[in-house]
Amino acid sequence: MRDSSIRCLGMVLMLVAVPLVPASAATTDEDGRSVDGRRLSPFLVQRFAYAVADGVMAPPERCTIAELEQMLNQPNGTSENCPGSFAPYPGAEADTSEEQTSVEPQARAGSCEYETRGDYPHRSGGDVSAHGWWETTTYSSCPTHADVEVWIQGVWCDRWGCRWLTAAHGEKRIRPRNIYNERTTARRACVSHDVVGFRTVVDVDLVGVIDPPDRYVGPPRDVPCRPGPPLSG
Amino acid sequence: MPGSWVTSGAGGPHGTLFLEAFGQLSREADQQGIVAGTADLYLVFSARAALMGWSTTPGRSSAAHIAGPRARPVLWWMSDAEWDAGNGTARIGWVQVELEAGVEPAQALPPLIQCFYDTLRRFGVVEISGLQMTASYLPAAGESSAWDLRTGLNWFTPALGPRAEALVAFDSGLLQGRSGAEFAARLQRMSGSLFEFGPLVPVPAQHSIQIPVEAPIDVVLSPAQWGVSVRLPEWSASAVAWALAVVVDAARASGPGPRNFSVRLTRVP
Repeated sequence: MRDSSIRCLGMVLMLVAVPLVPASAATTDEDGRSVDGRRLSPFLVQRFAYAVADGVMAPPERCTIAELEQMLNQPNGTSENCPGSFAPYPGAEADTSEEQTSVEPQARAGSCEYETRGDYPHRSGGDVSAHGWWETTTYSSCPTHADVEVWIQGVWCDRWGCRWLTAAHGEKRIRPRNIYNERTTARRACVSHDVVGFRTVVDVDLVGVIDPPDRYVGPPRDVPCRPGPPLSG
Repeated sequence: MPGSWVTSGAGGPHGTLFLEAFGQLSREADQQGIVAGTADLYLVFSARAALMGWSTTPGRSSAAHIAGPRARPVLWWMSDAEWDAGNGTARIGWVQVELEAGVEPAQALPPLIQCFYDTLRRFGVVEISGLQMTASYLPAAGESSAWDLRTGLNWFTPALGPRAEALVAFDSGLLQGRSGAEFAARLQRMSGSLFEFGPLVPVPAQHSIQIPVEAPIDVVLSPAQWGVSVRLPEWSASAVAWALAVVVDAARASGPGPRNFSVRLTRVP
């Protein structure tokens, strides 16, 4: 096939295939995989189109999640180098059971039965806030403390699709909340009440005990908060 | 299937309710264990809501026989709850929830207030002097709860407690351009022998709404100078909730309804 034909095919794919992808399927994780469980990825379609059309135009590089999060967590971070913005959750019917069951098997640490808990991201004054903690009814069989990490992730969309980006993070060594009322907090200031999709991720690591991966990924919630500069300290 | 859930997406904020209880909480002398002020209001409130089927808390268990939480709560998604910081406002504590899609504030208020009151009572003897609910980010008004509220009046029929006088204060935006007299007349149509809404009356400063710093609200709400008097069949959480729900329903029932507002009911001598 001649070069001009290849270029034409590439351009056609870019113009036709991408608009056919429903907006609800445009949420992808860092691997370009749809986070709401759909197989069709506009990212992959467009990557293919760019590859075929190579030589016609130079495709801009897509920023990695690490680059984006580094940019967003600088005091005066701007999105000039990584164009995009926080956005509401796409909102389509989504089955995330795969994310819950295959990635994160049931956690168990000996005879210590515990629950990983996290509340829904919510507005707290002028911030978006979420908490993570652990609970147990068999405390005598458990370590006294656990390292509990909590992340607030927001939906970030750019021309390639949408991804979850960490907007806030907290980590603390705590005892079970149902006995000692201890919890880990993550929060970040809002600069406006634009609606953004958030979710809470919690990881409980029992101190001194080998426990299976038990990161809990909460359901997405739209919150009227566009994250602003990171909190100091 | 354990650990699995299906979500229909966030679908935008469906409204936040920030409920505050004013009055006094004193620990019972023979009550062991939990001490108000150090215990976790959030967990007990969440537990009560889960037991009653009104809400659910997210998470996952290490025990294989414990399935995950329901995919969606019935009435609200839990956000936060805290005891008051003790700044001398006589506020006992507050709870913040986000409404489930399609749930009107007037529909959620009776169980929400009951849940809060039941929770406070677990920590000691509670004397409520008033409640304030601040709503924010509400969508356009949905179905009126007037029918269910009227049906609920039968709950109060066997009430034996002494009647109580109260004052309902609100922000000046609640009426959405309607006259105060028109609003009072609307409330009076919900009146009967049990609840009696009166005319507009001046609101003393101590009974005015005050927007708490913790409340997630981005608009300024100004206290209205006039409020509504109401006679309750009894001074109870359910009676306060009924009156507040009627006020909120009346405000939201016609037109798009206010999306950010605050309503406060205080017992008066």
